[in-house]
Amino acid sequence: MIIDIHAHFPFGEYTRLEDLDMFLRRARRFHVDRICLSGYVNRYGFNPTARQVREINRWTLQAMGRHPEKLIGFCFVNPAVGADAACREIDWAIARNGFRGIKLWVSVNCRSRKLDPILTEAAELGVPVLHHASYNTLGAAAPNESTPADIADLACRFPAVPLIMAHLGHARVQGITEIAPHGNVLVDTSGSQPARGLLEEAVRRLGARRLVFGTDLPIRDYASVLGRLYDAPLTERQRGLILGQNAARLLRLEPP
Amino acid sequence: MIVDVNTAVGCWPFSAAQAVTPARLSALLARAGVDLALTSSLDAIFHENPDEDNQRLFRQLRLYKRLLPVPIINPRLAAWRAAVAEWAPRAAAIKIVPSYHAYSLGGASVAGLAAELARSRLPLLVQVRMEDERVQAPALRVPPVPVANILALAERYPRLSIVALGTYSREAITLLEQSPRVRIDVSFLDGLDAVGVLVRRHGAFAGRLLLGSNMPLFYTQSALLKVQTAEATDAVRQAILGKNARKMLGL
Repeated sequence: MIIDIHAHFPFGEYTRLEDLDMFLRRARRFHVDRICLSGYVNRYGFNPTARQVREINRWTLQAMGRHPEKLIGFCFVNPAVGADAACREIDWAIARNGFRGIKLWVSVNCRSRKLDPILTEAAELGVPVLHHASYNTLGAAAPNESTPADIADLACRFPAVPLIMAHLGHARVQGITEIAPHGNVLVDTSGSQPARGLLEEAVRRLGARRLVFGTDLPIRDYASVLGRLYDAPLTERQRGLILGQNAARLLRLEPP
Repeated sequence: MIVDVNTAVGCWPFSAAQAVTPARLSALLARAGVDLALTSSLDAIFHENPDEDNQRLFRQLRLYKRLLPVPIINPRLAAWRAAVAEWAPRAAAIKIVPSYHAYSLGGASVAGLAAELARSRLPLLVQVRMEDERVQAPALRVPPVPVANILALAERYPRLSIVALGTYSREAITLLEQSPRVRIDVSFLDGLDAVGVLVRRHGAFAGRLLLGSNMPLFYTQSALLKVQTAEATDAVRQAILGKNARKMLGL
């Protein structure tokens, strides 16, 4: 089973529901069984209002409704809108509409206590939190962008919540070592280019149970990210865990 | 026949991967189904005078039919003409790395090299970037080669065959749209079915796309899958996988 834990629709030039067909053709081509949609996170800039966040999540819900057997929703949340609004959004998405995870991006750095009510909700609902993180030599992409060290801080505060740190490709070895002591942090395989050696380094330092396949589709493609997994010298067991078994466990999905 | 126009041997000091010897590169490419590869020396990127690295490259690659040596020339060195004279008769192409050897494509020395290669009909591979600038070592930032400079070079030397290695999709489209001759490799193209989208929107470009992996910095499979799974005709995929490169190299 292959699960893409990190994709976005609608996004960029792919905004019509018909564009989903291309995503699904691509997924079929690579034998990807399920795709987790994190929403059109940058549609309204770094800091969307509660109303804009709801609009973004409604688009995800619409896509899920069209392909329920394939698409899984992650509820996009902006911690800056306040605890009440954020928790209302999570309740709407997860308790009432079948989303299975929470997505946090760059509006608030994850060291902020503004995340605490959201993580508390995640713990109560038993859902994973996918959080953007990056080390960028050219400078942070957003003023409050979180780094892997920030993710480690969040993991300390909420050791019972499964955190998926996005973008192994941007974590670099430094980021891998920073999250290594925190067993509740996994890392997805997306980010940057297919740099040889990084995936093997992550498996060596974290163990294959702490990596999940994610692409950041449509910014990256299955070719680039699966190419890393198929080319890296991993065992079949390790590959199977990363491609889908770890994500299935987090998302409580039944085997096909 | 599958041809990879962008490979190298040696050690990339910022990579988590180990150094790749010619034997290892040849074996990895064979496993991936790549029949021929244009191969340079990574050491030559970091040495001001790459001559010894080129010597070693040609010596080592004699044992590996799969790997065609491509010397890296530094046109800032006064001896570049001698280097070209030595390597050109035995090389499939010449590569330059302007950002690492710290010169602009607009300089007089590049003009001389371009004129020489246009005369000898040897392709010029221009390494636009080796890495995503966002993940470079913080103290060692190397900017990409501006595509405007490649376009200017192509316009000035219409008989010169230029391959831009390591362009992002937007840079690739600029080059392909604005010059009828520049070719690009797929190593840094990304986004949903990047190769398929490029070919569907700009069908005329298909003849100027080449398989290039940026191995050993990148995984070969990522480049191969971009082409092999592109939503395009089989003829287009086969052209990008090898026919275009063979035509360029006169193989």
